[in-house]
Amino acid sequence: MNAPATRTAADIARAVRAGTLSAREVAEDALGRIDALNPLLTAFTEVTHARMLGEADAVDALRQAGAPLRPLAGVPFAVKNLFDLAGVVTLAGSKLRQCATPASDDGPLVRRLVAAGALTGGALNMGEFAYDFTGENIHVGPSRNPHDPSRMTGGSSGGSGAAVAAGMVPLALGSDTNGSIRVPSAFCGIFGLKPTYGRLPRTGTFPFVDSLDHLGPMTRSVEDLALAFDAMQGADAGDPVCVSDAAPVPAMDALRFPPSGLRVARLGGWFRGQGEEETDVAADRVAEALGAGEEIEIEGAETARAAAFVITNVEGAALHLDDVRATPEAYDPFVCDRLRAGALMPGVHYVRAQRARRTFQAQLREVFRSVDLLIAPATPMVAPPIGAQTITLRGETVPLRPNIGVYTQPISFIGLPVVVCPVQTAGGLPCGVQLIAPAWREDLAIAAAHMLETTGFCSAPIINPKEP
Amino acid sequence: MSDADKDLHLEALIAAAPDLVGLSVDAGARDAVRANLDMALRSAAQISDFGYEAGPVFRA
Repeated sequence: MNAPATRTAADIARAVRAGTLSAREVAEDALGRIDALNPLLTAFTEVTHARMLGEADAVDALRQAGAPLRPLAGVPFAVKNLFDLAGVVTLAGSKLRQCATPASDDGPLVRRLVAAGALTGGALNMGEFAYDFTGENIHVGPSRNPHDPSRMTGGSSGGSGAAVAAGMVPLALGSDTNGSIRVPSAFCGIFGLKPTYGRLPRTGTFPFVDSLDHLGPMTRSVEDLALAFDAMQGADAGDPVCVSDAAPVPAMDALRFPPSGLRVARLGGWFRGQGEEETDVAADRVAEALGAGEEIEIEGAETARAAAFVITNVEGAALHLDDVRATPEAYDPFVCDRLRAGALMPGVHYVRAQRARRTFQAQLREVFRSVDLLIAPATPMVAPPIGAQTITLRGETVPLRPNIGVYTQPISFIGLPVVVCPVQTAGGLPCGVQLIAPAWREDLAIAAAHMLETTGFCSAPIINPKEP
Repeated sequence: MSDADKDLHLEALIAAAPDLVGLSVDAGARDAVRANLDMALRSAAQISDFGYEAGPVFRA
């Protein structure tokens, strides 16, 4: 039998509910794997050993008492270190917050996972203040990709990608402002869900760009994605954009009763030909497997990406202005220089960037009248080497960082839900393909991802990393 | 605008940063801030005016 912690979340919960596996066994195995692999991968910044064991014992006590167990009973999980965990400092990847007071309580999503029976494993490495696509953190070191530890995990939820891909935990939470769930899911070869903007409350997390911040799960199976998503849905009074009038969409139902006759299209134009050919090939293959018809071009994708850049730059600068003034030396210089530039951007550009959202949103709504799902690569490249500043794409050497998010930024700009599916490339490293659904229809993307997984087209096997 | 003129504008904006937003940009960071500002302004230049909208609040 597989080591308990390396099973999927759904398998673990089934075994714990059936009594063939104790939550304590799972927790001890997960903690052992975390402690063994973390010196290589730098995925965790804090491991909550005692908490996980305590929660495991509570689950086992419930089972022994004959009480019904919840859907995530005995499932280890961990969160990007911008999520509040009671008793843990919410670092948000920074040096600046190392002396902050530990969180007094869990954020709502952590509370909901624990209420569903999950076991809290700790906080995960991330790019500083989430202003990052690489997974490199200057203060604690880069999170490392289990497929090849000399390569980037992608960011900013880099620790989340590494921890799930390496089987340290079957479930991690990340945040996604411009692609920070989708990029590490692609580079690390796992499934990731960026839900609709406003679906999951951001309360109890350290913000980056209020207009664009999303939270979501990262896993090695689509069923796990659905289980975690169902456990976390629901409004919270602390987040005004988390709308209470959006009915939850039961993701597990989408697996049991998949929609038939999905109308699928491959996105072309901006979403083709900007990167390594194998990422386009992967998206083409996924589109074909889902029976995609015509290729669609969306006018304005380049503008959407530019506007997302401006909004991110200005809102990020506004959030950090006082700290950048007072202690610039506490920041990663890459981040600090971007925030300084954002502080100098004229306000008219920000307002125009916000106005562009409605226009682009209206265009996509029109597209979704005749299509249910859009397919595009998640990134224009597989995981680059850690420390790379440039990359050669189709014969041209370009700066790496601004190019990682070219395919993700236009989509999060208008808050559409996306599932990233991992696809193996001929070169051996994974890449990711975005399944993009209409707003509030995460179920469509999840159902399609499940079809790809059950037909063997996409998979996220556990990777046992080797020393570089 | 020529590249030389654009550089002058960017330099002027950075030089005014202490008065505009209370930020000082030391000599070592000047080139990087200018490059980032240039990139942000080039992005902004791609955005047309899509007309009046009541406030920046967005709902998916």
